[in-house]
Amino acid sequence: MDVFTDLIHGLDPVLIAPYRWFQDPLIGWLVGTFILALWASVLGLLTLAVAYRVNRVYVKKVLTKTGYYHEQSLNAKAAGDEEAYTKINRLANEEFGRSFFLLMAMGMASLWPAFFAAAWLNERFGDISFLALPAWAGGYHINFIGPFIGLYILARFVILKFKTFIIRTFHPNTPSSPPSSVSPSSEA
Amino acid sequence: MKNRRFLLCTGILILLSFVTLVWAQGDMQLTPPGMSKKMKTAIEKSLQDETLGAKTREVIKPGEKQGYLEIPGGPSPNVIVGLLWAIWVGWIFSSVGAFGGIMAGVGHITIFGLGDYAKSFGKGNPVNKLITDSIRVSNQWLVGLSGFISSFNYYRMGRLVAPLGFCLAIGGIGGSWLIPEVTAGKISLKAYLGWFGIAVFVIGGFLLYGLTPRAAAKKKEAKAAAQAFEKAVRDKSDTKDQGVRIIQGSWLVMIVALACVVASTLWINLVGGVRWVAYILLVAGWVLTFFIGKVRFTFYGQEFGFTPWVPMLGGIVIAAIAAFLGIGGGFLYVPFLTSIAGLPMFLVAGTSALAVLVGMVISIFTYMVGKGVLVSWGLIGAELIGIFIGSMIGPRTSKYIPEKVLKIIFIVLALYVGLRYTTKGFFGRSIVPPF
Repeated sequence: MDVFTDLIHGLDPVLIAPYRWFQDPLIGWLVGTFILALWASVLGLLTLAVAYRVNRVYVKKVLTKTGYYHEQSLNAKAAGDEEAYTKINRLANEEFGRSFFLLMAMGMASLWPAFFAAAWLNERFGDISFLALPAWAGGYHINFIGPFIGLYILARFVILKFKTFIIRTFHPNTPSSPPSSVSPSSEA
Repeated sequence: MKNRRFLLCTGILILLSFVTLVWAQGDMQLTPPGMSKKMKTAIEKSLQDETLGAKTREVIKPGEKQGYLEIPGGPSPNVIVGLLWAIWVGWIFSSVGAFGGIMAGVGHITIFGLGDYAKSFGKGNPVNKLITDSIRVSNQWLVGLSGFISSFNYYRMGRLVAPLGFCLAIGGIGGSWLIPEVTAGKISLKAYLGWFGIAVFVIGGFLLYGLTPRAAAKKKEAKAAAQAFEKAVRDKSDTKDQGVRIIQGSWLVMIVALACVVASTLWINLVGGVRWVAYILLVAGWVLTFFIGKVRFTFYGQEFGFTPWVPMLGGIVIAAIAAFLGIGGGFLYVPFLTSIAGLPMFLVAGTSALAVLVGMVISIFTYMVGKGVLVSWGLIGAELIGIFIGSMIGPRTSKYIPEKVLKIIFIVLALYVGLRYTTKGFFGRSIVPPF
């Protein structure tokens, strides 16, 4: 992975800088890792936006077809025709498989920077352990990955709230609740 | 003309995947410094045994550049090969579906040169085991991520049957720790390869069945039924009732049962000693599931129900297979939920994603914390970029390639991959190239 390793090394001075803002090493680590998580989240969300923009026509088509079979299967169920419900549901499931994995692959696009962040953290802080339980409890240690996942989720949450705030401020008429059908934009 | 050009492009893409598969066998590059303590421990442990030590000394090349998991002289996944393969995986995900997970596994085992390298340390070698488990966990990270993304979204859309997901998880958590408990560190890549091949055959069998006249007739019948109900007007006025609403079932017993199996997992991984405590907690959790009573819920105004111990048993079997193979199990949860539980497909995706997520989280936790398995984070990141690019290409090519052609391509691929891994795993030599 030479190219990616070089990239990680090249970014090292930028990524490590926030870790030195505070004298306390623990606070410095938490702040630095949170900023790293923010970078990873923003980059991931931008990638996802590109993915949705490029695929929007196809995604809409696939979801329309899926929605059609879903509707018909429930029509059959409402009419009390269990046999037809089972048959149409199987068809709907086949269609859904297509949209499910497409959206999943697109959703994964938003996470690639987090793994490069983890690779960088592994090089920098791979041997540090953050929490140790007493020997009777197994002498358990956790490395950087647990706190990083926590801070990454927090970063995504902060961005989501910030986005909602911006939308509510500048576009007050936009509905905030998610749509009833699968929305690719919500894959973030 | 356009059709021909795109068929040609897809043909080239498939050919490229085979070429990279062959190319990767002999292409092993080297990467930078810093071996981890866990790998050092595994190497030192292998050196304590005369036979294993000799193998380790033969394979590891001191002084050479460090490769996968920082092993000197270890394979360093070629970035172009890796990216190309991930694009291929992303293309499958976005055009065919679940088969992408199998191809991701093929990449980790073969394309990145990791499988043969692990095997070269010999059976029972701790280094072999550490690399083998690393391959499995890398797969699980990819699958667990997809489960996380899906569960979160479906929960927000009211399309997740939480009690069903929990019941699957009660069984699944047990399967997830029992299998690594029994196999991690005790199974070499050789056997893992064979079982992986069998799983590919099973999926190939499903694809092949889809092409039979019987399956085609069933599909035609279902389409006709869908058209018949198209005109039926359902009352859609009360949209609030369209999400999942639980109307019967004991949450308390369910939560206690789930807590018992989670506690059993934590005990086995964190405390380690007095292992029978974990087994008792696990059995208690499973037995409690029989006392939850029937769970009923409504979705789009229709009533559905299930008996909790059925998905619990299904969860045990599915998670055990998934954890053993390092794949999601999603391909097994979906037919289980539609055929046995009779769930509408709008609920199947979210619920199976939740079950996959719970199973994967526990399995990853077990491998990474309990067993100290290492993962190459950069490699997974590069794969995600490839999957992203592939998911852009899939929708563009799918309209030019008939579904039947796609299915045939993947049946042939499943046959090839299944033959290769089954024979290599169980007989030590692949009967299809590269041997």
